[in-house]
Amino acid sequence: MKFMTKLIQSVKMAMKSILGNKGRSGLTMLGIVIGVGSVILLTGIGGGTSKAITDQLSAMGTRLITVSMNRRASTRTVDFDDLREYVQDNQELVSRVTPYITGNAQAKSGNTNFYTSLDATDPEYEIIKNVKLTQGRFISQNDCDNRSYVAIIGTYIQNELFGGMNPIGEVIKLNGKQFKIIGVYDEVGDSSEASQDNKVTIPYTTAMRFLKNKTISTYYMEAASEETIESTVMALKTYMTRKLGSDYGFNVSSVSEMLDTMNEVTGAMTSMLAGIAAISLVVGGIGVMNIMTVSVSERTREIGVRKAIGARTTDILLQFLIESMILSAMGGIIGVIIGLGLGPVVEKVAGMEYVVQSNMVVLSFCFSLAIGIFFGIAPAKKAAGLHPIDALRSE
Amino acid sequence: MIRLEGITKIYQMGDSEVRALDGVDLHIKPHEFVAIIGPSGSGKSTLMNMIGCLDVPTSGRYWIDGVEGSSMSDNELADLRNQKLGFIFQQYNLLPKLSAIENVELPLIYRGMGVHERTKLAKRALERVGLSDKMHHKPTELSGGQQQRVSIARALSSSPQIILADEPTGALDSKSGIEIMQMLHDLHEEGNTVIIITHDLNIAKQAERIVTIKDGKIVDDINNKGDKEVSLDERNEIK
Repeated sequence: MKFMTKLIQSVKMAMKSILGNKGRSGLTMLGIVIGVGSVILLTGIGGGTSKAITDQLSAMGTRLITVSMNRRASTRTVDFDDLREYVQDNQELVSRVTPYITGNAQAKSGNTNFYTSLDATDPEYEIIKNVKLTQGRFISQNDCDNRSYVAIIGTYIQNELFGGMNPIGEVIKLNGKQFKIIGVYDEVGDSSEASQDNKVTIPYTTAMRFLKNKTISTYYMEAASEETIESTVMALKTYMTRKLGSDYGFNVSSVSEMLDTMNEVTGAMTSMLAGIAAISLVVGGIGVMNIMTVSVSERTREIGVRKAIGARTTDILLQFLIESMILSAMGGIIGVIIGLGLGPVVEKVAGMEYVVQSNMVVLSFCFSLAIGIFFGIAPAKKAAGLHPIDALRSE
Repeated sequence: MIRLEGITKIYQMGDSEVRALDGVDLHIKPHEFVAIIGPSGSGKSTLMNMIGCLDVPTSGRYWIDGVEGSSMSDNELADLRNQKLGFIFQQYNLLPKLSAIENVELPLIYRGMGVHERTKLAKRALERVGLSDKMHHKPTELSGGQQQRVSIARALSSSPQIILADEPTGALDSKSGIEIMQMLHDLHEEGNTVIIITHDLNIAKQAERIVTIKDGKIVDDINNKGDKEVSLDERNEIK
């Protein structure tokens, strides 16, 4: 009870002294404000980046496995038929496989022409990659069997060549060959030339002839379940090693594996940013210590008076300690507000995603409090240790 | 009330030692009005610091109200100052950022008293010194005499037995000085022990007892009750 009364008084006194010197208190707090604010801001940006990457990877399908082959590998190869057979025999591990070829082509219709990225695959791709079309259909098995000259185009091409009108049944010239348009992709980017909307997809059998590319270097597979994806990747690696007679020249990777790696990388990056920001927090703490030390010297006489009329050593200690704590806590609160408030600004101005890391908000605020105590101890001890006589005599 | 025995205080000034107090024996009884007088550098301030438990002697023993101060810890001394002593300083020593009433409340806060009780006591103390209307003024908004009255109220608020005044009129004009002295007389009449440190003989003459100190030694200790006989009788009646 007695202690509580004294504690409340100490808080009141500290507030009085802080508010009585607003300019100086503000400047002292600034270091803490910047420290806490930047910790929250930077980890928020880190969290946003991590989320953006995760979302993008997850959109690819968390069951997706990529098998890619290095062309200069040994004479022994694994081809599409081998993998199809593997899928047939191992339905409990993988459910589908699709070939994937990429290249570039010059697209032309009428007088307009430009380069577009071209890829080629089969009907399974639509399911594995969860393809979305706005118009028409995807490649069929028939298209592949007949090596049909059909194409699915992105929105950039639709806009560029057909002015956004329905292009189904129209013709597009790719490297001089005529392709019938059978479908239009959903917009995935911003429909600009550099975006993923500037692309064309054709049947892989057509592409192998058309691009004079006899080998397929990439396959996408769909794992039977997300839970067993790691063992599926292992099994595939074993299979490939056995078939190729070596464990290099190919790569099997899964999205979840990439996700883990990315999360590790972005996590490390975020911690690094938080660490750098924490340094500024420590520097801010030194600022608090500086001002508190000056304040103790200036108020030596006050301390003397307080001691003369009966303040105990602990009363003085508590008074200054609480003052530095409140200074840092106020700085921390303002820092939190700024850190949270800057989020939408960052999203708007920099076009980055911003995901506030609530644990970092709590952590940085607690850290600022701890700094207030840590850096407040030395000045408070100095004040408490003053001898009443010496303190009273000072001018 | 206050007993000093063989109090010696030695300050180290560079290589040389300064004997501020040199074997002082002094006994102040309850309800006395004592003036300690001496030229500057005589050791009277050091003596006041000893009586006020603000400083510890190099050697010797002292008792305040029966308790021995020389064996006390810093915190015990702080409590002793808080409960038994009221200080009045030449430079008032009010805290400039606090209002009059907050200054007066301060000793009660350190005693751990609750808000209601201490506001009541502080108000009463300010009324006593005739400053109820200036309760919420800051010291800088008050005249010197008023500030000294606030500091008297502060000394009174915790109803100490001993009032210790260090040159209480030193910084005041003569009119305010007379007022302040009158208040100290009143306090004495009411049964407090009042000790005044001064270098001004006119002030000292108003006390019942004048202790003269020189070069750290008490050189004279005279009874000065003379024209104070009436008030003495009054005091005995109160007893």
